[in-house]
Amino acid sequence: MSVVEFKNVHFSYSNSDTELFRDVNFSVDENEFVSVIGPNATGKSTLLKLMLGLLKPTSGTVTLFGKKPEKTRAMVGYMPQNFNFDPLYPMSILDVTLMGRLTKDHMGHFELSDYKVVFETLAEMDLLDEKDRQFSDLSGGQRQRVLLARTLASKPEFLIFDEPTNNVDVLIEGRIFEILKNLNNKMAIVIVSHDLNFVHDMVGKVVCLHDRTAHIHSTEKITSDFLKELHERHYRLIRHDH
Amino acid sequence: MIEFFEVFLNSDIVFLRYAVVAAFFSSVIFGFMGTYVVTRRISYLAGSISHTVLGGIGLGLYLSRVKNISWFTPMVGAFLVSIFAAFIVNWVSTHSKEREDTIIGTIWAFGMGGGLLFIAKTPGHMDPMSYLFGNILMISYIDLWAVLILSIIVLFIFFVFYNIIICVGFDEEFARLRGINTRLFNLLMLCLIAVSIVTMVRIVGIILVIAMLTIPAAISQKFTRNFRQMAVCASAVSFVSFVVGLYLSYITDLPSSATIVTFVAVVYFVFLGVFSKKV
Repeated sequence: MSVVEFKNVHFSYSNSDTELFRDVNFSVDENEFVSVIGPNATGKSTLLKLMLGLLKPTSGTVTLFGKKPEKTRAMVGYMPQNFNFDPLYPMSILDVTLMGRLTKDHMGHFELSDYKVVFETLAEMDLLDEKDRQFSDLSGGQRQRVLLARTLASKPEFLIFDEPTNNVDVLIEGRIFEILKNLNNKMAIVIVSHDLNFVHDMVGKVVCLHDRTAHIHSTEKITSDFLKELHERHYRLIRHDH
Repeated sequence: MIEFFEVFLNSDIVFLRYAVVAAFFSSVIFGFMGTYVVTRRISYLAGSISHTVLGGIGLGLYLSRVKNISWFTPMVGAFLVSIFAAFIVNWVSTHSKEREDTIIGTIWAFGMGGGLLFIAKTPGHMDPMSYLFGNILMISYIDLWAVLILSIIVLFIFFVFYNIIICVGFDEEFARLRGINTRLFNLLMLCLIAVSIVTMVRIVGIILVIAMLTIPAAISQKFTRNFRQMAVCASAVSFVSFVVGLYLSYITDLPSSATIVTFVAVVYFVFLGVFSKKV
């Protein structure tokens, strides 16, 4: 069974006359590492939101674990690209990470087991000593790490990341991809990233968005010339294995 | 000061004791609901619902006195209209393609204008000011029970749904992904705000309801680190404001609600000044 399946998907925003996607077809299989690339405004984040059922296709079907995304999206760990939050909202790093333990059937107070998972995840992200700091006091990179901790604390079975290394330094970037590499042994991962450098040796499939549809490529076919042509700007593409 | 306490402790004079007890339980409601309103930045939604209460009161007065529909009392009218307003406001904030603030402002004005028109068409003298400012010194034993029961309901809801309340408030999209029906949750919380407003308008008036739903929580936000602390602190700020405001109104012989509103607003401006200097 595919983790995600797009069948003849068309999509346009209600306030727009033009279609963003025309007849998109692709699937993500178990333990597959898929990268979504494409120039700006081609709908990369929209594609992820369709996967999660946060947006509905105009026609066609999207399934997540073989069902409607709304039914199964709690199994997904999703990190959005832009996280607009109220900086005055009083939330500590611990409070934000604990949100990952919330489920439809577990809405009451958190149990010891939830705290255990959260403390382990915070330790993994080097955040345990700072758990009581206010989320709004953190830098962009630190916030990204907290959101990643929240995502991992939910013990997902499939990961969707929208530009996970935005705002993080090289050290944390390396750590994030080390974690992703380990997780990829257990689950499928879909990632939107402008920089294919560090994912290149992990990615098995590339979903390339242009001409209002999705073109599926293997990583071997993604050359810097191809990307240059696609994005009209040069992309660094260095294989890590040589 | 001593005279104020003598009146408070005098067993023959109940109005001040009732006012302080009502202030205590009202403060619990204002502290928790106010923290929800302020952290979600929906003060204008609460303001809009508050003003539709006047529409409901006017409708109730008109129907019960002019049309002889005796069960449709001003409180029934206020309750029905405010719940209806909560549904409309919720629908507008999630579905409307128009400018949300414009529609909310129109509902605000329509509620108030409609209420005044109904009151104008109802025989007998009624002063709309009494609904705007209320009178905490005139509350009855039944009002006390109503505030007590509502404060228990509010505390119960915040105790049981605490995690959802902060999750939806901080990151609604994430809450949806975790399987929470955020639209239904938002609607139920708006209905709870509406019920709180109707109950509290009867005691302290529309203006004081809006002030106490926003100012104590806004003051508390300056020096608390999580939602729970903020709600408890806002309850304390609210209660202190009520008591100090009542005392000031007693010694100056000024209207109590207006004195409380003015006092808490001045405290807020002082805090705003102190904290902005720190930054």
